[in-house]
Amino acid sequence: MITSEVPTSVPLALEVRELDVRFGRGRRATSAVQNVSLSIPRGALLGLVGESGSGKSTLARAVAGLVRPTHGDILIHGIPADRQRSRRGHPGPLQMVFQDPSSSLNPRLTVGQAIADALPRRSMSSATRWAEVLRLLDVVSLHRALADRRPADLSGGQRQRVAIARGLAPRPSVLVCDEITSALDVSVQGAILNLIADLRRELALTILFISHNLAVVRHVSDEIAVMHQGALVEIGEAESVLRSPQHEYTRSLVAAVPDPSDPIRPQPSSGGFEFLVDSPIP
Amino acid sequence: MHATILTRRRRLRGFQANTIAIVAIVMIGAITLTAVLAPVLISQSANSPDTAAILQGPSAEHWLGTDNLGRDVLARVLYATRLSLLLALGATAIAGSCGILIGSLPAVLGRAGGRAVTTALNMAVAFPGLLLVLFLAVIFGVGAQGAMLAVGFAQAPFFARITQTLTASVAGKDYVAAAKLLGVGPARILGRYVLPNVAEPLLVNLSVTIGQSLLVFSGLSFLGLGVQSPDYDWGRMLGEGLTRIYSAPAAALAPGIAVVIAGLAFNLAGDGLAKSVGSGNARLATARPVFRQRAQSATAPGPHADLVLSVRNLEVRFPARSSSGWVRAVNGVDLSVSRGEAVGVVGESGSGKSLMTAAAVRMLPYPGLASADELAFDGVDLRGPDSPALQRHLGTGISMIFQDPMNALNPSLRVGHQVTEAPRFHRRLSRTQAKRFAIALLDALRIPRPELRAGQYPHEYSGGMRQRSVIAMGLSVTPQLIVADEPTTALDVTVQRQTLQILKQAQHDTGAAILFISHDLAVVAQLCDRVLVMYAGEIVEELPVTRLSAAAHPYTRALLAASPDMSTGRGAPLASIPGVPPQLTDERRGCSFAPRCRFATEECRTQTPPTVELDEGRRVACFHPQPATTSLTQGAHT
Amino acid sequence: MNTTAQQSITATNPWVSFAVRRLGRFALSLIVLVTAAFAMIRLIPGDPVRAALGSQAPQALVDAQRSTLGLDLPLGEQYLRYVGELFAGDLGSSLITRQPVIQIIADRLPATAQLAGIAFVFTLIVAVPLGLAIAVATRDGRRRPVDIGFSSVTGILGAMPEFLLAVGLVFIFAVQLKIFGVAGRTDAASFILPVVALSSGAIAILARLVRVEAARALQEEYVRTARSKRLPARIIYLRHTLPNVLTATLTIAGLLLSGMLAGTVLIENVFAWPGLGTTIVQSITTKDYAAVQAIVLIYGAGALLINLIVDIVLAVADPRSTIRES
Repeated sequence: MITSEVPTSVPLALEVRELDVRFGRGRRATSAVQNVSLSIPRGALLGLVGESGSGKSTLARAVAGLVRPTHGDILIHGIPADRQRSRRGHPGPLQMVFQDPSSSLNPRLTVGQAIADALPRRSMSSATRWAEVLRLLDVVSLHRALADRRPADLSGGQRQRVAIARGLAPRPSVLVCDEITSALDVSVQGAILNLIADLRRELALTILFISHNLAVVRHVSDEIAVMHQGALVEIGEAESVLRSPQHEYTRSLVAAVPDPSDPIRPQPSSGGFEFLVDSPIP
Repeated sequence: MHATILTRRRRLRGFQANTIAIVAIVMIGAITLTAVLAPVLISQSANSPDTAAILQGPSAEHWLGTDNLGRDVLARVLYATRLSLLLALGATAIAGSCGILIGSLPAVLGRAGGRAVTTALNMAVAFPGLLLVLFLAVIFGVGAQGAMLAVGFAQAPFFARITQTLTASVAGKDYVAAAKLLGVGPARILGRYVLPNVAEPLLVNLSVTIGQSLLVFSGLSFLGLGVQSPDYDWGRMLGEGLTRIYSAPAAALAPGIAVVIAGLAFNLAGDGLAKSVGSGNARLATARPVFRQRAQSATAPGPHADLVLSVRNLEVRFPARSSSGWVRAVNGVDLSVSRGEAVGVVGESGSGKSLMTAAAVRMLPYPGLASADELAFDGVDLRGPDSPALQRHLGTGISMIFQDPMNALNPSLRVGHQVTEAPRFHRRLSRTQAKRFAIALLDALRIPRPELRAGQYPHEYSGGMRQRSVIAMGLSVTPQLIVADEPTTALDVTVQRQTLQILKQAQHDTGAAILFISHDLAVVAQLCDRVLVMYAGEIVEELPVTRLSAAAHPYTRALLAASPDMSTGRGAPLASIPGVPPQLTDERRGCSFAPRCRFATEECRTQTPPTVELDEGRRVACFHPQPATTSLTQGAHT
Repeated sequence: MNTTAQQSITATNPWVSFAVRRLGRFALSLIVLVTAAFAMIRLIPGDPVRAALGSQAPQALVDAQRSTLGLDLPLGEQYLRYVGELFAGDLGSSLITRQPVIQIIADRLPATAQLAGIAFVFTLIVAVPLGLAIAVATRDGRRRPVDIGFSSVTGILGAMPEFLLAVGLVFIFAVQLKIFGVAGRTDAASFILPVVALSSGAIAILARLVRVEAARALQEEYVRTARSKRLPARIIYLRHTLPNVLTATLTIAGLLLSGMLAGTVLIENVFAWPGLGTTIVQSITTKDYAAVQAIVLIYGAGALLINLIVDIVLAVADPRSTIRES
């Protein structure tokens, strides 16, 4: 079983133990997550990479409590997660930012309303709540005037910032980012990643960062975990996982990342397509 | 880019829809007015028998004639509006409240309960509506009240089904999941997150249901099972009038026309509402483009023999929706691809790269127009009129690979058939030849057991196999030029690498040229010899891939700085580009990139930078091309 | 994810599982239908026998009829007796004419089935090519006037109930132009007006649907790919587009046929057609509940059978659907 090398004396913000998530019943059941264990120390950022079908998104949703695991435990700050799940008026210690900025915001609410919904209604006066909304907009570098706009008026990058502000509003200690830059243009991606890095530093957030883009993950992560077909195949310190990957799949993943200095070269002979020129029609 | 044009289309559709909605509202208003006023004003002529005027035809005094008791037909039709409308509204109220209640249950009940409700609904909906109505009419009894209950409850399952589908689709959205995480209570989730987003389709269906109820009710009354005499609604009038259709046709037709008008009004209202809410389909399909011949510029040379694709001053325009002018999507692009060369076109969304390439190979979608000083493929001018010969020339010379391999294959046709469809048609292959060729192609793309696979359907293939079949399809005509529009964007990075290797090998073995469009500079750098960078419909820089790190244009440099690779410094912040690309309809003065450029000066904002050749193979359109020595991130926004 | 070995051991033939699932649903729906028909009479407030025979009828007669119908037995026994009789082919006797209901049905069903069947075939022949042609002609926003015209005409026709159209047709062609007879099933020509009236709404709805589905298919990636192969229009529309429209078309066609079956009730009443439609209305008005019960059963079973056949045809034509269904 692959485990993280984090020493046990370090306080762990998030712990996943032997997690299984299976869909369907009986013979037609499929296993999306198989026996995954990982942990993230307080204030660290774990990058979770994998391709389609790897189960990384299912794992994220299971950790957030949106999907019920078939087996295994999830602990946040040492306490089982299902004792800390969000209830009415009490958001949990874990918040999530989703991939698609066009479906992660309620199209009917203004930006301000969406963020305000994340703040406690009873203990805060509406004036205090509104001040907090504006403060959060500053934190994510959004113009305060946008508070009265609806998501349809915003660009993808702006919508993602709103989603991040909304996730930060209940002062979570753990933030799960599920492919938050995948739907954005390259020119905007950098700003979001910088924002995540800044927030982590300033708020001492613990972050589970999921992406299929190895270069992006490398840029922001302390540790990297690699998933393949539901299983965790490698986990370790970011630079070492990428420089000297232990698992074969990790190696193929690293080798596949486009490297401009290493262009793709054809095989000089017997490539297989010559027949198209020599005698195409049999 | 597509988004911009389509926002305009959506607004146009909204405006048109408002016309429909306005017409409908006017009609409904007139009907309601009649329902309210007629019983007050014309009760006398509608209900008092006049034995002196039995069964008269249309006249000045009685516009639609009289019925068998001498009562004015038109007056009766107007009088009947109230009862007909009220009964329809009553039935809709029953159907709506019952239906929405039952339809919301599965979202609340959990899996087992939800399943039971769904099964029951499916069973109820399997029976035709009229049958349910008759069944319920028997139970609730003949007469207006019983019929209203019958029509109402018969339509409830249909409404419940719609409600269930709508709530289920909304409940699965990310913003509902986010709300749950944030501790928003279930009542608030229903009220603020779910219902407002289903309200519109539900309203549309309520409107349509009023129309439907009206029609069904009139049918019941027509049969004698609905409203009983001495009361009458339109249906009853129809039923009674039918028996005398020879002698007094107006008495039968007039109520019928009234039913149609009323039903139409409510259906239109629903349509109008639906159109103003819904969105048009986002994809512009292709069509035979129309070329406007522009004046030949003095220095136009003929097409070069060693150029597979030669394009000069290509412009693409689309009709603007809000005004009568045009929107320029591509503005004066020069592009040339030599035999066997791999050229990349890089740009973000809205740069015009896809439209430019489509226009260059005569695949521009309707209603776009393209014009160019020169546009030739393999020596043939593409700007002339269409002809089967031209289509064959293009069909055997150019292959296109699009972004989504999952959907490029027709799910209803066998893979082998699709892979060899182009050579079979253009080169007149026989069936046996095509079959053997298909197997050979699939084998070359390393698809295992090709003899078996050729006869299978796309859904029996895995994703990677489908991508390779699409490439096989592209290679089947042994093209001179392979045009690939973001072919690896939707793929896993390991599959992407395989795809690039296959393309490179094919290029090497067959001598085909490649035109590769992407937003990812790194991918383009892996495959291509030369790269063109597009921004806002123009080419801002062209350079060999080997000299990418020395890119001169600020936009290219910003793109490079914003994409981390495996050697980027991990502590340093990434660069990004503030602002958004310009709208295509904006007035453009000066350099398109100037508003977002760190190095922009007044000259950049007022004058359009000419394209200059920096040195061999490098062109750039910029007043301040950056020297290679400065670091990429210097001056960039972080 | 299951390994290949596991899959080959535990996989069941998708056809078998489809057949089991679908026939099970059919059987269940049939049971619900029979129970509903049974319950129908018992749900009517008051005494149905008294209502049928009238307030003047002697009590002895009423009691005798009640006994014949089995209404004096406990509910469970009544149900079993009813089901038993159904299996034996005994649908009871008319409360009014004492004729066995099954005889009535045997006399009248063929006329209804003919009308519905011919109307259905006519609908398919007209609606599918029409919808496809309109989709091709108006793709990408071409020819807005055609688009608006088609939508308007089909909108009106689809919203108009069949019996209204029937009355209108009778007026124009029978009364004014005197081309056809007004009523009755006489010769081949007498089928024309009823069939047109019955199918017009369905043609409008189906043509609209085919048009929408074809327009959607034309926007799909595989059509763009086919165009990039520079294939001629007929191959793109007939070979690539049409097959992908069939699934939705078949599903709706099935629903429309069920609706047409019910629509015959109204059409028959307009044209005095000698079918079950005229019979059931008469039976409801005269409160001949035994006949009503049996005819409702026939119509309902017909609708369920149509659904079953449509599902089977769909499964054969589009193998993906059986595997996807769960």
